[in-house]
Amino acid sequence: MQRFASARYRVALGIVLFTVVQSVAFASGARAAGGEAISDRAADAAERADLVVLGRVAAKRSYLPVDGGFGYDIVVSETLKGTESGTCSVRAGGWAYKVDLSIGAEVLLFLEESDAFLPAERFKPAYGSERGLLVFLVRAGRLAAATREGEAGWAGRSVSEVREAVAAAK
Amino acid sequence: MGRLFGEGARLSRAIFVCGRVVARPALSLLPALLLLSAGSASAVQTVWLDFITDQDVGEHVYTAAEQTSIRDTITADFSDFDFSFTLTAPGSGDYSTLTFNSDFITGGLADAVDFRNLDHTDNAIINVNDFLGGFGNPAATSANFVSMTSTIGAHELGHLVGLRHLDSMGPIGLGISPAPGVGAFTPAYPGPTGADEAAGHIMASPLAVGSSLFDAAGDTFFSERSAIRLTFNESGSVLAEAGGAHDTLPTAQAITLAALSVPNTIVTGDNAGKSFLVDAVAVTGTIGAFSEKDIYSFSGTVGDLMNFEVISAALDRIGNSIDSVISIIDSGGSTVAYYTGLASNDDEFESSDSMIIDLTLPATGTYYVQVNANGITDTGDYELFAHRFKLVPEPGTFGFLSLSLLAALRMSRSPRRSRSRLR
Repeated sequence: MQRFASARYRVALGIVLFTVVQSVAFASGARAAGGEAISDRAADAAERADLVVLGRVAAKRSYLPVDGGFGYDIVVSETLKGTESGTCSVRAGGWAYKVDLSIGAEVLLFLEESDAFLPAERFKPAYGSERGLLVFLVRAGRLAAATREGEAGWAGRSVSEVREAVAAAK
Repeated sequence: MGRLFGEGARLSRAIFVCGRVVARPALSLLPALLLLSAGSASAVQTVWLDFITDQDVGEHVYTAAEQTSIRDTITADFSDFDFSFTLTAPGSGDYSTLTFNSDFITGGLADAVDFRNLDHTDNAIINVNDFLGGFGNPAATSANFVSMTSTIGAHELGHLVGLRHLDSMGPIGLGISPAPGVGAFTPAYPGPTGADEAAGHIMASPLAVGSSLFDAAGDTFFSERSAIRLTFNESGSVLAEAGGAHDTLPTAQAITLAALSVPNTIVTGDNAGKSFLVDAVAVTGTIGAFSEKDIYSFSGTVGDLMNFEVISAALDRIGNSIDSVISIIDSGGSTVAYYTGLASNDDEFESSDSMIIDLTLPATGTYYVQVNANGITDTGDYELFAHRFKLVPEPGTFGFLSLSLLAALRMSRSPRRSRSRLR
């Protein structure tokens, strides 16, 4: 009985936390959409990122058993900031969360250079002003969430809007 | 599922000292003789808890008292096993390093899952700064920095000595935890999702089994599965695959699960304070030809609670890994019934390795473990791990003395201590 009671408690707690998180995410998104312009946030993110690219996931490596998330090879179609072209390698995710992208997915990534600990992947995702990861799927020219840990308020915005903001920040 | 676990997973074997990279000796493959010998490598695993190398501006600065408390907590976690922890870099000998405040990662990251702990020089990095303070997180208190750093440090060290996230799932016999869920396995795990003690165990993580940051900041300890594997590192029976084909039931290679004296590391939960009876064996094998299958036989008794695992893709020392499939077959040649399915698995929930979790043998007799690759052209090396788990029955009117003697002989070097008593 205690086991079931504990399970029910966890489910209830999960629902409450989920509701709170969703409310915060909604409020955050609304603020981004209606308050601080997304272009300002994109410009700010671009200033802090080492590399901003549009591209497609070409290869995927799992490091889940050692808490290392996934490694990706991204075929770059457009470099919004930086000099990287061709293919860049990215490590994303870890002990507490994952960024699970499918091979072939089109993505917009704000990236930072990694350090020497992980020679297989040179870049890792950058964080936005609200401490969310700046990793987005691109569908029909618009951004979509790629992970629950993604920066709130960017979904639905157009790539061209971000492109202009990044260009203005250079 | 295709093999995902790629090469290049290892952390660079370098440590940064005052901005310089000081190369550490690369690990060469251990001699085959050692891998194929009976008995696992048994020596004290020395671990340097490095709070100095990666300290940057803006990160929590661990006080001397906090460092000491973290060392003592991790020492207590591993107290039933042969480990030695130090806050200063060892001057000589092999040692593993846990580097704290690494700015590369949030949480932790281990060099490898080193089943049987054959490499005593691997490394891990830990950083809890983003997990404490802020909305929805545990408070950034000194106590929480100590407890969460201890948990993730012990977790990553667990990987370095062969523990997997699966090992957080407990109690044994209740299947897997609700997360990652039955669908994360291929085919879907057919058993129960009753392992609801996972979150309190050291080898849990939010990503793997849905534990929380508050769990990590709590009073965590090693599960039964972890205790089995840690004990196996020190005194387990390791066999080499026999030469020649053993791909039919009549030609199967006989293996014996040997008794293992496993201490009870459970602080709270169904099995706290109980005694374990464990038998285990590991086999190092190779799928050397297209469509080859390796079959091993063992004796089982009705009701035996068995776990099997083929480790290849997640084992860093194996350069030519396979995407394994494991099946348990009865003496009639049929795959054994396994809850709502059959005892066969292609992929566990994190890699292309295969596992049979909590199989209860339906009858007394001879059983067979079949290992093969998923693809007909896939060849390579693997290690098979199997164990039988039983609780020592509660003593009745008869046998109290004999059971006490049995328990004394087979388990427990020291009583468990709650972490909270250390602080």
